Amino acid sequence: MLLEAKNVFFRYDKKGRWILENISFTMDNTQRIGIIAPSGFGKTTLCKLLSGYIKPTSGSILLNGTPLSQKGYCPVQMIWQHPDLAVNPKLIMKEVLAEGNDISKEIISALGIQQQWLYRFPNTLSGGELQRFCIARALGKGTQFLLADEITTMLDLITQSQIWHFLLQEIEKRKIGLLVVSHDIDLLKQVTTEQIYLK
Amino acid sequence: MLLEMEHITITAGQKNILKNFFLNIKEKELVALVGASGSGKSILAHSIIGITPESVICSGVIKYKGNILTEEIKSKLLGNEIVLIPQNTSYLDPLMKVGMQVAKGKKDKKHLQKVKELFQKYNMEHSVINQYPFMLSGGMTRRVFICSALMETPKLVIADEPTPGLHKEMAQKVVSHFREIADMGAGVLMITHDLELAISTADKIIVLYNGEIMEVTKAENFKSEHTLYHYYTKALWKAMPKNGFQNITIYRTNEKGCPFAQYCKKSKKQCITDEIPYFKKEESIIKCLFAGGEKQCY
Amino acid sequence: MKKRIIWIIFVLCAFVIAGYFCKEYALVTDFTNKNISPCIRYPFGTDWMGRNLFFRTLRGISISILIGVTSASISTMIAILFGTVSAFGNKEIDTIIVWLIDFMMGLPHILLLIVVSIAAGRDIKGVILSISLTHWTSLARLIRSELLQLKASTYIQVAEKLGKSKFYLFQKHMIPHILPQCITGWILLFPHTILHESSITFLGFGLKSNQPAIGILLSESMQYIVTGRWWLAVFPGCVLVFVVLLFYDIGKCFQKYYEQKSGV
Repeated sequence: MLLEAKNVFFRYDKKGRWILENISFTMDNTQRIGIIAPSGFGKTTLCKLLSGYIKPTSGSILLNGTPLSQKGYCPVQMIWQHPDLAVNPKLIMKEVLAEGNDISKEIISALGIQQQWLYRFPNTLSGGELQRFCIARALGKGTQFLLADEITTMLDLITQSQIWHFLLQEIEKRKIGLLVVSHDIDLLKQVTTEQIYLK
Repeated sequence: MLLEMEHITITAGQKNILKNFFLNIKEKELVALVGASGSGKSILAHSIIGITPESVICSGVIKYKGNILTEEIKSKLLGNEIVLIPQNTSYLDPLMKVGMQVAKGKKDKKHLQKVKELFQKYNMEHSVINQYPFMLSGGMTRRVFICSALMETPKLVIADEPTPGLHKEMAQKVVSHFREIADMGAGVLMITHDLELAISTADKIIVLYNGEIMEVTKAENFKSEHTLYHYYTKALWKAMPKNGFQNITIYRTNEKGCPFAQYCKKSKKQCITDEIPYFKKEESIIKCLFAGGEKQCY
Repeated sequence: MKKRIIWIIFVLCAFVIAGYFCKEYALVTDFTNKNISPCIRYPFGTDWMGRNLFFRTLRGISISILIGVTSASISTMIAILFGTVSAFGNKEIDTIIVWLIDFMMGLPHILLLIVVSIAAGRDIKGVILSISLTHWTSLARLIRSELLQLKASTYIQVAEKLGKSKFYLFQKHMIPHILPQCITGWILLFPHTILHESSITFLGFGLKSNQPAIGILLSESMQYIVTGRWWLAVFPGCVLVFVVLLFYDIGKCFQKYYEQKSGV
């Protein structure tokens, strides 16, 4: 399994400022890579490109040599920084989880998701609790790469460590590649095997 | 004592947001209030100032310089002696130039001069004065807030989550400005979820869990696990990436007594059944029956 | 809140059913009893042909309500169709529909109503058609902008990447969001359509005079009101205003109900 970005350029509109210029990068599903970059660098944009939310202006994103398919379950899943935006406020959590691709019961219990939370609406849960659901949802069958964009920045230290310990175990077991974006160098050193400093 | 708060209980509808909260801030002191997101920290800040929505009910005693903070005193002091540094850009008027907002609409030379000085002090170019809020970056917005707080000489500054969305160096920089303000003689209450940031700048740290204070301790006590006394504070320390990044299981429980009774090795029967009082040990205040120290009246 | 809605619906249904049963009575002429002012036997009085105004008013309001329901429903459907196509279609289609909405909104309403009504033949069908074709614009615009906003929301994009089909996204995420707005829009269209129906009929471009619609009653009464037969205009007018207010109230109730539901 290989996730590649080849000479990727990106900007939102013609004549606009380049957000990303000539980015090339490769990772396989045994790697855990951390990215550190100053704010305004376009790290979120990079994640969105790699997981197919947006298309590069030029260049290509390849998974095992073929471009990401726009239809069906995307093998590259992104977890967002703000879990409250990533769930529909009008659905109960059970329905939110059901959107994932066949989430196993073990994942749900390992993430500490309690049965009673399943029947609540998102606005009655805290950010940490919501983020657990978002992570579970991204870990359905068929996920080969996981992109984590500042997923624990808004959370307290204990929740942060719980979530990361679970994630590391799970991706190890299932051979999922991990790309982590964070400001926290100490955290990246704990959860990734190599760190890339972008400037 | 600059600000004293006692027996503060805040409820919104049926839900208890804060229970039996207390707080003391001296001049030249930076106190950090640390808790998970959604633990009711912002509402506390808003209730000191008095801008909570109607459904939020706040009871308890708030004293400012020894006098009870009444609506009358509040309206006199807000904006010059007591200032709030809000969470995000939405607190700026989007249609007014930044400089004018900092000067609070006053156009005379004295004020404009002061605005210029402040902008220079916080490393912002003069052109920023004539920009509109949407043109500012996150870090710049915080600095604009700080400038507008410093237009008068504030005695008490309340900063509500000053750092989310900023990268580490920037956050550090913003917080260091609060340190400066405190050193200049004001009391600062900084509300944040970022414990590591609080440790590096604050004098005193209040650790909040589920709407209740677990421990009040000096920031330097976080250098080692042994100077921390409460199970939760120790757990926080151990969960820091640089201190071993331990995986600690704690789940929200809604029972009476200590929420950590089932995890803590020291716990006995009364931890589950009794209401836990506060104990004072050295300079820390701990909500734990077995931390040692003498019982407090809080 | 719910109780109030049920009560209002009950009253409106009563009007329609009562109107159905006095179809015959509304047309009975009795020249021995013409121009009687309101009394116990004729609560709303009688007109210059001795027709019982009470029955005529009931019949008229029930016709108006039926026209209102039908044309409000048709225009809501047009609005949903155009709003959705505009939000999901390609750029050209979107531009055309937005232009059409602007165009329809720019034209004077009443003019369009009259033209369509006459062109479609002056009967109930014509009136319904003319009202339906002119009242869908603002709701369509609302639905379009709601859907565009939803389309850009993070959680819908996430669901798309989780392999959910367009159909799933639409029925699971979008319909629950826009349905309350459609229902409120539909209800608030009601009084609007009733008033328009009455006004074009009053002006003589709507229903024919053998249909005792409220607009007809009002326009006929104009000839006699100067001679002091005030009841001919006052009673049908009051009933019309009453029904319109009922609809507004129901719309407000719905709005509040959904606001409460989503504001938890």
